[in-house]
Amino acid sequence: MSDPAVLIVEDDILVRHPLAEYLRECGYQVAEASGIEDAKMLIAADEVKVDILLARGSAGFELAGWVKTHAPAVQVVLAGTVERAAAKAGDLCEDGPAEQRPYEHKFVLERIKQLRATRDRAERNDP
Amino acid sequence: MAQLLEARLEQGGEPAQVLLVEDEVLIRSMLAEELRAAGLRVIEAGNADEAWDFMITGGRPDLVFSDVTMPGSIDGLELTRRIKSAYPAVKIIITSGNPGPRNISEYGFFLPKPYQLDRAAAMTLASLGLR
Repeated sequence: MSDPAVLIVEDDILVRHPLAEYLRECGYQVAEASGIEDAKMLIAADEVKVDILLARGSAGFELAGWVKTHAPAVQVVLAGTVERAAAKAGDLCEDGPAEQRPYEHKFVLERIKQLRATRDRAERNDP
Repeated sequence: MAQLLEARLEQGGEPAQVLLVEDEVLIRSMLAEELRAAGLRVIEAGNADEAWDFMITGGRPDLVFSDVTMPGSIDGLELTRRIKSAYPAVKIIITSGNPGPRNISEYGFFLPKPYQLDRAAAMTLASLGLR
């Protein structure tokens, strides 16, 4: 049986990519969507496997309703904030296919905060 | 293809990183999986703005594989122009359904759309010197 597959829905690459890499190291197949329409397209596609949907913010609530109707077998994990998204990824990792966590989810959160701070500094210097 | 990457890893190297910039999510997702299956580490960006965010926050891919026409404040050509200027060691493959400007080869290798996933993966590996 293939590894379980997570679809991450997140519009900021500096959040999405660290979460995706973390979950891949936890043994999941991971697909990435930057918005609701992309997520729907991936869930509906035969070529992409989605068992679990991890979505942050208001996109998650809209998608949860759509998934309930169109893909009820998909487990939906909602997170309101980046902190909650990292914690939920940690929970998924704990239950995931890897025998042990590659690292704690708090390091993912720290990485995300560092990346966003670096972007903020770069944008201030180069508006 | 995977054997070449395994050999690179056995030699103590990190897997090569590819920044894949494509707004069509199905194409991006399937090509990303093809490249991961070949042993590459893939960063997925949904447009050129996201890709530039990745670059200015310290991302250092070995290769950028980018579409040209995408929503956002810059397109794929402007992205690759910036990357060539600021990070000249990064290899670049540009793809588009249109021929692009006459001087497109100055930006990097050009792969016309539509393309076969295995052909795109082979071109990526060849550009990285992995086949």
